Amino acid sequence: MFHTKDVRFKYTEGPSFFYPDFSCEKGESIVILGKSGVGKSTLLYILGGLLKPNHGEIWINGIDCAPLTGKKLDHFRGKHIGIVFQKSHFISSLTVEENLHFTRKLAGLTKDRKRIHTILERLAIPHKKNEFPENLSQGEQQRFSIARALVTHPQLILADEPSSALDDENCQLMIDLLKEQAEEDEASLAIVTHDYRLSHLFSNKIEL
Amino acid sequence: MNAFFISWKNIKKNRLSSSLSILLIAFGVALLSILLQFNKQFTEQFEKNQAGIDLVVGAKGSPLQLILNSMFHVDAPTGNIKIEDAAFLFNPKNPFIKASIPLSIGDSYKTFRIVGTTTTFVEWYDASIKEGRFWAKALEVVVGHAVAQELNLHIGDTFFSSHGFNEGDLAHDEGAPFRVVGILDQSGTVADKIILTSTESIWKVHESHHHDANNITAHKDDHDHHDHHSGHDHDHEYEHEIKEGAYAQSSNTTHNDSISALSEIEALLGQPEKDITSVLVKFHSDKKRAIPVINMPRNINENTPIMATAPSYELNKLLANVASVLKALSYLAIIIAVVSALSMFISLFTKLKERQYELALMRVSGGSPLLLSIYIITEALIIGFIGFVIGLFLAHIALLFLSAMLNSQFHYSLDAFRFYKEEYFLGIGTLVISLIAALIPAIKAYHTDIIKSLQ
Repeated sequence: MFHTKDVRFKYTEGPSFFYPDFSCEKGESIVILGKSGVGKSTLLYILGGLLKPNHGEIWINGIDCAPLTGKKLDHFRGKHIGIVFQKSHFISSLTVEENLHFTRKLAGLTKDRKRIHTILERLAIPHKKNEFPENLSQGEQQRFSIARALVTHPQLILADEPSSALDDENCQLMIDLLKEQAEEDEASLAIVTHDYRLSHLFSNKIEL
Repeated sequence: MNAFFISWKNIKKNRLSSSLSILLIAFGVALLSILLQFNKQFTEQFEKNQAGIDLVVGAKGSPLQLILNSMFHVDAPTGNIKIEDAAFLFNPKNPFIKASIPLSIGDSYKTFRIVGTTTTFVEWYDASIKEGRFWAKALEVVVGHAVAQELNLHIGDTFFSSHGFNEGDLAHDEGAPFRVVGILDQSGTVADKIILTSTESIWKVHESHHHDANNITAHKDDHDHHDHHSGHDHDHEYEHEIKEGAYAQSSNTTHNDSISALSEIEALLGQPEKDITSVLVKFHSDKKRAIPVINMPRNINENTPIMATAPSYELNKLLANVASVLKALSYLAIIIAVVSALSMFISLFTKLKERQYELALMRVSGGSPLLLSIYIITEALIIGFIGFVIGLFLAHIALLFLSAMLNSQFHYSLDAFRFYKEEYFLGIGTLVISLIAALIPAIKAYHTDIIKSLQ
């Protein structure tokens, strides 16, 4: 589970953001909605350990990750947080399977073929494991992005605008997939989006 | 899945630009390595073949040509000289001259030069008889190690020489042939690549154009006999000194059944009107800097019909010329090295922009900034290393061809599989250059802004 407390952030020469406190239990999900410019992405980066808040606490799995810096933060991020980006990012010189191995390695985790196989099975792309990511279809690339976020068995899965480029049908499928995977891994899922179509799909939601 | 694996994968993915960088590095390394090998091996061969010779005396002409011909057995002789003109070089009373040996050059067998000389020649070049014995009479030859191998010559084999140094030159196929009586061991000097015989043999071959071979032998024997007992201008004291003095060392050598150096020189001096090509002279080591020794070449050149030249002086001039060419080429190699470093830098730097998502993703997944720098540096080092290995390989293959070419033309060869420690330094240099080329991209990778890159 994770919860935030009194998180504030100010850009050096830019706006300040005050975020409401919120929490999400293991295996559950939350959607963070907001229009452009309300500090949605900033919150995502703060939750993801990529930006340091000026103030406040972010508790993930019983650890306040706000004060962490340097290597400790890198490790924490790699091990406990999985991020699904809006665009599919990957190491283009490595195959799907190698990408997943490498993600685990960066997080300081041991090699785990079984985990990788299971994740690929769950996302219905096990036959693509030896392909280079750029050879996958867009849908497969999206699944692969989720696989990459899940492979380290994180406590928190963050998704950045996962549905913005999808039609209603695929939007629903994508959200179902994310929810299902988070649930199965007993991870908390936080979706940051401006897509109000998602509003009715989540019971736990906050609007910035 | 370490840095090496990830970097290698990336090199493989960017085959074209990686290959270009590798190729440029390889060319630079190859050129430098060839220059290095050339420089080292040629200097070494030059030094080995100097054999402590202080002065070369021959017919007037180009001093360098005389040295190349008499010491390195390339190029044509400058002409012939009369023994009487050079006789003073064989006078053991001369306080400066330690020893001298005559050379008669001009004939060959299957492009290997036949040199008429004395048995002392072999000592000077640190060679010795491996098989058989020295020549005891005219037309007996001792062949150098390389000659025996390449022409598959054995003791007892006979052959006719040809006039000149080329394959198709006029053959001396009248009269008796040369007979192999000895084979030298390998000395790594010019002695490996020539056929040695007595001066008399050379005269004999040339005389046989005009006489029946048997008659010549008879005539020759007569002549020798005549020399020993006739009223030739022989100084008995001189003869005694010859026995006891400078040439005595030659008779101490292992060739019991060969004619002694003493009688070889004696026989030579007995025929003052005959021709030889040149004389190699060694001075006493403690008198090399004596004024008369320093002035000797000039004195000879000014006061006699023959020419004397100091190999150290001429060879230094030649080596200085060669060195300046090598220097110019090494500048070219350095330019190639710089260009290759630059190409690697540009390739890494531009790829960095394409890879910023990947680098940011690595950071998101828990990779430290240092790790990203390590990947970039590892990639450069791998490229540098491969370039170095390919360069070295190319250089040694090129040396193999060059050696074959030199061998067929001059009977000189290069050892293509010899490695010098400078080549390892070259390897270190390549890696350092690669590291420098990767430095700025690595620093930039270190400072990858995750958020900006992922937006």
